[in-house]
Amino acid sequence: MTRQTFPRLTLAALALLLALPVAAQTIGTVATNEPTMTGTPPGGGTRELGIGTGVVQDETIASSATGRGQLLFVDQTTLSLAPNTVIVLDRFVFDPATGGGEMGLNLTKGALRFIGGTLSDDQPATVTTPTATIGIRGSSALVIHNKGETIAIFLAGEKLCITAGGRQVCTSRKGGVLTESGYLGRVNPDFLAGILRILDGVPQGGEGVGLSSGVNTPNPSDRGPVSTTGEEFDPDIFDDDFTFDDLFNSFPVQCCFFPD
Amino acid sequence: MVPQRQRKTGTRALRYWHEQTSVNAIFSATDSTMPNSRLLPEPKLSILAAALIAAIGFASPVLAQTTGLEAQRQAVLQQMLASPTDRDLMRQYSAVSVQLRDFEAVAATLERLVALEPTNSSVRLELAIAYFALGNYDLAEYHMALAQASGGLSAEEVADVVQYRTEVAARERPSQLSGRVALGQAFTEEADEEGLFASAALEWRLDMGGANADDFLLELAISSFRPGYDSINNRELGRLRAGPEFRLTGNAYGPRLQPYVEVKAFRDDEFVFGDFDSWELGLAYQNPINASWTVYSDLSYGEADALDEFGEDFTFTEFEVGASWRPSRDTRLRATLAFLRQEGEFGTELDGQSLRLAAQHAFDLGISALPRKWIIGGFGEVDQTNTDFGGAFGRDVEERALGLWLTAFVTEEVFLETRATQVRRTTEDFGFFEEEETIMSIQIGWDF
Repeated sequence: MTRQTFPRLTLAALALLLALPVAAQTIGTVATNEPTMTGTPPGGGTRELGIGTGVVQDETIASSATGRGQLLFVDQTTLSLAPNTVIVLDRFVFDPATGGGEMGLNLTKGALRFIGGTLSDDQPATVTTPTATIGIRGSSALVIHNKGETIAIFLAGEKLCITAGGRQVCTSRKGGVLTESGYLGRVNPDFLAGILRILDGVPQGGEGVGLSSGVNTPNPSDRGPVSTTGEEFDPDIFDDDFTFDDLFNSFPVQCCFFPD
Repeated sequence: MVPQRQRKTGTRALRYWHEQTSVNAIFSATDSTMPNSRLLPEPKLSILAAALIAAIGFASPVLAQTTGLEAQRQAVLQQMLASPTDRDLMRQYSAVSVQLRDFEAVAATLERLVALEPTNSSVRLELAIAYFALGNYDLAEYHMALAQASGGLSAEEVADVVQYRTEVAARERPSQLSGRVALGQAFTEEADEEGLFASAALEWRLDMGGANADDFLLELAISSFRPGYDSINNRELGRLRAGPEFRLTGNAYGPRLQPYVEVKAFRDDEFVFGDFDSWELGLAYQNPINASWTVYSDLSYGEADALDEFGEDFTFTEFEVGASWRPSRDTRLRATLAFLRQEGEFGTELDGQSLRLAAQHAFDLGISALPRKWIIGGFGEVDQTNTDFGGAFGRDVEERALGLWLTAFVTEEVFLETRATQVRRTTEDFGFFEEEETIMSIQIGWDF
């Protein structure tokens, strides 16, 4: 082996090692980013994550004290990370054809917002913290792990559960708060606003052009809520309003017979 | 108008108009000289009603379209994964998600756009509306308050915010009161009568607390018909139902069960039998299986106390089961089967069954002065009852009803409602009789 060959082989081996994470299957992408977020793929070195960077299974993602960002996954899940947050994407199996699979991540510290995609429609996605496991089914949630305590807030959808110390407690109340101690009630609006400011930054206001998503069109202020998969209750299903059509049906038959 | 009656066999020897068989009740008027019936005309409403139900059913998005939209959304998602800040892709993705009734995907997209355009209050407002759709009023209020305070919204957007925030404040109350009051006039075509038609319904919903937000419901409804007694005999009805509503599986949109107790009071006009007081115990069940299908049932048992002299008290068991199909958020079709059994204290027995198909569609006229969607609907119903009076006496009654209605909101709360219902009845006992009546009404109402 010549003196020139050795460095070439070394470079080639290094290039191969660096390429390994790239070759691993991308499960999502960085969709928004404020400096700085970093990612450490399994077997790879730590890299700075910019918008459009792919993330892979088992990658550790960390935000700096001023960093935050959002990840968009291939099953449509969106994950928002607050500053000083560390997560590991430790389980992600997704079959695009059937929408089936599973999703799990570890939250070592910090806060995140989970807005579910296809994977959590039918079975819970899990967020594991050092003290609890959160199950999120057909739902969106905020999860915070700070000072050895886990707090989960149910945002929307079917159900949110927490398992700690062998006990599971669930809530389907919007804004319901779960900790290792169980269900604590509805979230205080000031506390919620504080968490959102940490996650999203201090809100700013100004003019702008909307996205024209049409979300207002089928959803006027007089409509009831809808689940994350489009289910909604029908408040009139038993025809409680008194129209004359309903009135005809509203009283049981008097069955009996009277001669003149 | 010359009232006629088709009487194929014989003359009614007995008065039995006190029999209140669902829609039969409108023919409760008089006796064998009942002037409201005539030879059956060509059906007037049937074609219209059938056309309406068919139009609502088939003009709406169908499953094939849903599959196509999902494929379209997946294609946009793949592009968005490669270009996550592309605004046009985000718009396409959100617009398709709205059509698929996936407001969570819309919220996720708008959360990302708010991060990319933090000073854009219009985007924040759309995000708030997405959370409103998902029923998270804390988040909706948070974003709407920020958007409103920013000063960056148009006058139209500010008006929207005010409307939504008012609704959010109402829905956040643990004790909620809602209802409707309507007053108007009812007309009967064949009997050529008219009179007052008033109705009111009130619902009190109390959040019982706890992790699953179960409610306690109290519903009160009263109505009064005063169009005369040749056809729709005058009547008053009051009903009170109360019971908790439980989420059986703990899922927010899973099956709900309401055990209830209900009391009713029915007062016919003084010329006919049929005054009752009753109580019943029931179980009402509703389960939205997915975005399109909901199944429901209602089982009840009760006792009715006949108030007229010589009246016969009876017990009744009713079972109703049905399915609702919603091809879009604005369109709904329902099919309901109902079964009834009654046993009188003197041995009279009655069995009945009915099938009702109904459709309704909410639509926007596109006129800014009319802030709320109008609703058009139609129904068709067939009822059959068989009464066994004991011995050789019996009676079979078949009712066929078709109806159309339109609720036209002129403000968010005030509406005009017009209805037309055509009912035909055939009775077979000591003879064979056919009767028909068409009832129309117009009311002005307040929905709150």
